Amino acid sequence: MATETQGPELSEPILTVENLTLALPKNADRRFAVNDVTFTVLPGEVVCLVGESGSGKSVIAFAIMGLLAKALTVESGTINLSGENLLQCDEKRLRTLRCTRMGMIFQEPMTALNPVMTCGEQIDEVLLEHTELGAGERTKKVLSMIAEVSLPEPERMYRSYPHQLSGGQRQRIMIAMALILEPDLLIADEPTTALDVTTQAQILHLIKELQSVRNTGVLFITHDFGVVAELADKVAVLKQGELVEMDKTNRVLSDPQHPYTRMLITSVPKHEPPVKEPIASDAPVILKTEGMNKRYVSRTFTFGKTEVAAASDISIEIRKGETLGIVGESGSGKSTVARCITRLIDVSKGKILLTGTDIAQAPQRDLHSMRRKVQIIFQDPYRSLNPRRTVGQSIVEGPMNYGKSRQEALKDAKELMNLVQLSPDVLDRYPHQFSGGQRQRICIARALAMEPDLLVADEAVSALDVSVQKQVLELLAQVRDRMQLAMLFITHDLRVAAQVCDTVAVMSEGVVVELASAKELFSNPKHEYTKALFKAAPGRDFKFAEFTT
Amino acid sequence: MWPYLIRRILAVIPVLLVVSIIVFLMLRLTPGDPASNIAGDAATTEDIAKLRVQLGLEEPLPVQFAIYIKNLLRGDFGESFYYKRSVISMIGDSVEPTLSLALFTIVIACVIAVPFGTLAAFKQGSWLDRIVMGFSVVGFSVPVFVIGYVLIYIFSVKLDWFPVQGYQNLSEGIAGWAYRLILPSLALSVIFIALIARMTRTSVLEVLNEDYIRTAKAKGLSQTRVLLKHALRNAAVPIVTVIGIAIAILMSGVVVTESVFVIPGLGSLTLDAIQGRDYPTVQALIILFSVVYVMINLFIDLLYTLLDPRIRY
Repeated sequence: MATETQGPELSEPILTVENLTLALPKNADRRFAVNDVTFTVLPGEVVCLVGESGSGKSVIAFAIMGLLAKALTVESGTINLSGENLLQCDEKRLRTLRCTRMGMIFQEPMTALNPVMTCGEQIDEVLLEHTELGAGERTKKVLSMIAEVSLPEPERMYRSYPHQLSGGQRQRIMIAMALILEPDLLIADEPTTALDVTTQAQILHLIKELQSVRNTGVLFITHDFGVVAELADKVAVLKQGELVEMDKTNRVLSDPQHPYTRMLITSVPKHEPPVKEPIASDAPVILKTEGMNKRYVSRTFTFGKTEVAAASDISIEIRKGETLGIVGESGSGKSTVARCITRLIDVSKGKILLTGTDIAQAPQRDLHSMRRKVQIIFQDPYRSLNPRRTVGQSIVEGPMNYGKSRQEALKDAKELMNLVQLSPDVLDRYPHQFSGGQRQRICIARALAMEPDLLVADEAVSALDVSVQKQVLELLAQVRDRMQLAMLFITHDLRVAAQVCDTVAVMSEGVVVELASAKELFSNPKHEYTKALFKAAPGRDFKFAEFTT
Repeated sequence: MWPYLIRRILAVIPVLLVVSIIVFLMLRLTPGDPASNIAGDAATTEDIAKLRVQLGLEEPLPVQFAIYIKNLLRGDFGESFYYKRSVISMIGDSVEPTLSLALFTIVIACVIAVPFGTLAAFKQGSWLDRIVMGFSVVGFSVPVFVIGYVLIYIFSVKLDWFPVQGYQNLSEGIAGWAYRLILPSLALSVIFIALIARMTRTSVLEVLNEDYIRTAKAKGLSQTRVLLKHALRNAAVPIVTVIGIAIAILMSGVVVTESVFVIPGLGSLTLDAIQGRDYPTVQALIILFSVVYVMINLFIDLLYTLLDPRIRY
């Protein structure tokens, strides 16, 4: 929660960024990555830089650390860290300041740690570089820091390699590394974006705690207004490299002034599901699974076989025109369910009835006709379109496979482009010429070209910015209503599920722990796990501004 | 780990079986007769026929093969047709020069290629990078014997710094041994320097874009430490793989280099044995080479586990 402490107002800022302008290379789509940005961070204050992808928020962080990509150049402005202009420091001075006066943590704890060094060694390196401590003292200090970020068994953590830890634990190691020398400034670049919601809540809590104990100023970069509401004292909203609004968190979230901020805030999906017509009880059942199971068995030379149940006893049902959401954290088995239903992987046990026919054990050659009926949209629109084929080719390929003539398929493709609100003239372009949101629209058009009965959306909006996410969600709802599709919507984001789903299944460790109508589930969750998920969702208690746009 | 190791070592057996069959058949199905080679130009047809019986070449192929395999299983590789010595002892005599040459070559190649490859990656696009890459292309394309003769011409004939040819046993003094190895190793290593430097550069370049390199920089580490401690170790797996391949390819390079520099090693032995159709010697050499191949591969695979804790067997 945004709290107003009396301290920060009186003290000198630790970080002052003034009129910072960073130029992009000549052939870029705009001139400046960051244009005339000014803000300060006081000791003990959390400042959030919010913006969509490409807004320049990470660039600012790297400029402060002196780790700017070579292609970007400082055009003008100053960055003062406790009175020292970082833009005039040489490389050697910057190295001395890093980790001692300013620390940084990153988005992907998976890749941000060196995979071939133990976590302890990696933290120890900071002390080795910046202090004169002996080996014994360093180890002691590292261990106490590991304990301080609330990791269990510090000795074991010290000896562990990054791949042996979970995402949350790795992020704790990163935080330990960044804070061990008690820097005045901590820069956090989307540190919880790659984490599950319950882990995210814990990490946010940890940052908040360590920061207030040590009076560290935090520059927190995020795209998530929930996180902002949870953590920030002050918010700065960036749009295309320009700072459009900056004020106290409460004020910005409840009474945003700039239209862009308003647009962003209204795009954040709400926790309450909108009021919807219930699905007619006599609507035909498109998909029904009965006791579907997926086990992974691995045999080793010495230990016999080990079994992992990725999904057990899944019984769900989707009617025509209905959207069933499957919500869960990573490893909960939600994607396994989607892959079983689409028969991308084999099912171990149970039935999958697609419009009445059991396809669970159907041999591959019999799946041809089923493939048309079930279409899938994937998470990453950047990688799910073949970069060497035009989007038109990608869209018509499927229908032509099922016997449509090229002319007919192309005619349909043009109509579909209209439906997904893209111009039919762009069919002969290649995927890289489109933005992420446009590509996801193309993926939707590609799926619809097959005239499916069931549309499976596997985290289909997770990689998109909120404003784009909102549009794609609206498009999906529209398409579903118009074509009376059954939709299976897989997501980790409760708020997204609340917006599009009629029925929601919550999954944990391969099991559906709760299955209820969206209205029921969000107003009155029954299972402990569902409650825990709701509680962890950032910014849930915050009253965002509402507009009637 | 141990089950894996045992499995890998057991897997050598079928490989050797296949190799011995192929080499046995290849020798006997290609034209040329060891007996007439040994007997010389003045020999009569009867002489040759007698010799063939003596050498056991008159037996039907399956019988010859059975005898050959039976002896192999007892660890008996037979006697050379020419020298009437046990093949094993002949190989034993020639191992030292070849091993020395191979070792010298691979050490020279690694010592030069890895640092230059790393630097080229670190200073991508600089003149150093261009020189390393340019050298790589040239190193790949020029054959070993050309490099060998050019080196001999410059350093032995013109400058008189090194002997033109020859080998000195390690037992006669380490200085003389090393001195005579420098030129042949250098000639042989050029292609491997090219190969390893290129791979090192590519591999390090890739690693330098990784997030953990950015983390290392954000910790305020010096460039040397970032490069050596973080980049190189992560880039090591592909580099080690290519060094392993280099050692394997080395064996064919050794044959040419040994004849250019007149070194009495396995390469020369192989060449003579093939030309003279000395079946037992060729068979033993080929089997030896394949054992070395398989063992290098196994060693490299085990090395991976040391370099990358994520790799476990």
